[in-house]
Amino acid sequence: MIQFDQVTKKYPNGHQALSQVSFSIEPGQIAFLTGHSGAGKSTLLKLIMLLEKPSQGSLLVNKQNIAHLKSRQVPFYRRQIGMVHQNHQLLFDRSVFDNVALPLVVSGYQSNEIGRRVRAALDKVGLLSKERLNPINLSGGEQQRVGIARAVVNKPSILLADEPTGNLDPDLSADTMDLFMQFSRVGVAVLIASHDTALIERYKHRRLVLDKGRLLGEEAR
Amino acid sequence: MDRPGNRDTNTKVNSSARRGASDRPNERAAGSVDSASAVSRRGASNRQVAWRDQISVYFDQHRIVISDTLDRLWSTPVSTLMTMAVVAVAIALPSGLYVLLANVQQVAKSWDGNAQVSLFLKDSVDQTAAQKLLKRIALEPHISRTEYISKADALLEFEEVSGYSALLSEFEDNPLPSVIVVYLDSPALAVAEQFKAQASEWQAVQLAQLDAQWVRKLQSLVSLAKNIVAALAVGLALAVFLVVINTIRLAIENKKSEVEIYQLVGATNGFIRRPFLYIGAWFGLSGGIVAIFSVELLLVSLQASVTDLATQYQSQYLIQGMDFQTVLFILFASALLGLSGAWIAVARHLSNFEFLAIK
Ligand SMILES: Nc1ncnc2c1ncn2[C@@H]1O[C@H](COP(=O)(O)OP(=O)(O)O)[C@@H](O)[C@H]1O
Ligand SMILES: [Mg+2]
Repeated sequence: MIQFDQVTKKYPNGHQALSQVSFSIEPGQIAFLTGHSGAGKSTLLKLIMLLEKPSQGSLLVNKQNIAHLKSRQVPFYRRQIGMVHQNHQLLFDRSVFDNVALPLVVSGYQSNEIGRRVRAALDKVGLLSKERLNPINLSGGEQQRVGIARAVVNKPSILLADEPTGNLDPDLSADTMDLFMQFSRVGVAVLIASHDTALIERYKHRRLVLDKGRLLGEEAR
Repeated sequence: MDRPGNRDTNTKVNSSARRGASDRPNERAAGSVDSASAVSRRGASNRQVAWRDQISVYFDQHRIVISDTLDRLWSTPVSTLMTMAVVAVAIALPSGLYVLLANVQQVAKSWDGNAQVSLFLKDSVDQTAAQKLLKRIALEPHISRTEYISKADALLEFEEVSGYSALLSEFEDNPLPSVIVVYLDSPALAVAEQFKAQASEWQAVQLAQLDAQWVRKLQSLVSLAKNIVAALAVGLALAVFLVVINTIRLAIENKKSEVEIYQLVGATNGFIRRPFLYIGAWFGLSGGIVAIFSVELLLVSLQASVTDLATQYQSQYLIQGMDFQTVLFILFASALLGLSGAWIAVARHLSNFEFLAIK
């Protein structure tokens, strides 16, 4: 489903964030992407989301080389990926509900369908009672969960999460992991970038370890 | 799975997913926990919706953008009003001038199109000599008719028009000359000039004067002015354009992070553009509306003095406002101006964005 083949990413300033990374993730698979801060985890996720382009190598998603997508196809490509961003990327002039509804609104869903799905997603992250609030009035952990709800509301086939449990206490982290696992069970490929070793140790998922932009090999359990 | 903790969330997830699955069998279940086909149907969410729904979604989206953009403008009343005022002035100025000129042209046209020459006769010319002259004039070419105004008639007419009877009674003799007004049958200036030249030579004629000249001059001045107004309109349209471009550019800068988030969740460029285009069109349209009201207001306030003036000439004149077509044209043109200004701003500034720059 996601296939990295000798992918190298060099930023314009000359910094090489990823070096010849190769791996693949199948539908329904869940994998942790770990490594020290600055190892290139976020960069790798951004490549999949087409927020950055590889300098070398090929990146296939659903057997398609995404470097070949035309710019007008990119939005439609992004709609099949849910991404939880490290810095949440929420709109602070809208309610929680409107934030979560965003992917559905831009995809042209009908409003009753949007309401149903947004509430289901908010229910899953335990924020149904806060749908009317502005995200600015929420705690860091709650904002993170709004971002998670938004990432899953469109029922993506790929779920990317950049430090999704960074602001969450152990219980909420576990709930979030539970949610991701439920998605993987129905065939969604899930890739979680995290340096939360305690969390990673608790689950027996596949691990991709990055070190200074190189993939150190895998530890699967 | 070996996770510790809270079972509540788990139950909640499953129940909401089942709820979703039961009332929409054709769609992937909310949360897709119960649906095994989530992957195979991915990306097809648009196609799952019937075309009729798509149309209603399309109108829904526009309706939402319309109310959103109006709200947005409403939420910053000062800057909105300022931009609106600039646009309104730029549209009102040429529109107002144009309407005024159209009125002047109307007045000029209502004068006899054919030229007329007034022959002021020498004091020595008496009634019989004048009658003789009239007969002679009738033999000339291009004469439509003639009119003789004796000294006495001229005095009466003067008193009637000016109301200053006392003024002339100061004079011992009637100081006004007798006049023959010659109406020519041609609007050609050359014909009138030729007749005037010829008549000035006549013994009895003190002074021959071409009356239609100033009307003609006025008419050509008006059409010149109309051209100037048209050029002014083009210049001001350009100004509106630049104002709207700048306003939209600022709006885009302010919404930069919002735009990026929209791009993250898969909004098409068209979707992102739409609110900015609407804002541009609102500025144009609202400026046009304000401009039309201002011009009409100006005309109404002018009407009083025009009526005064016309009464002095025993006439009446109703200023002609803009007709329905003109109003429609102004509204349409100003909305189009705003829209195209926004279009340019969006094309120039939205493509600079980080995420769009990457294919
Ligand atoms: N836009 C950028 N331009 C230049 N260097 C960058 C950019 N983004 C990230 N980097 C660098 O690339 C390296 C990897 O960053 P990142 O992928 O964010 O690491 P991680 O998410 O693992 O902490 C870091 O050294 C970072 O400074
Ligand atoms: Mg990171």
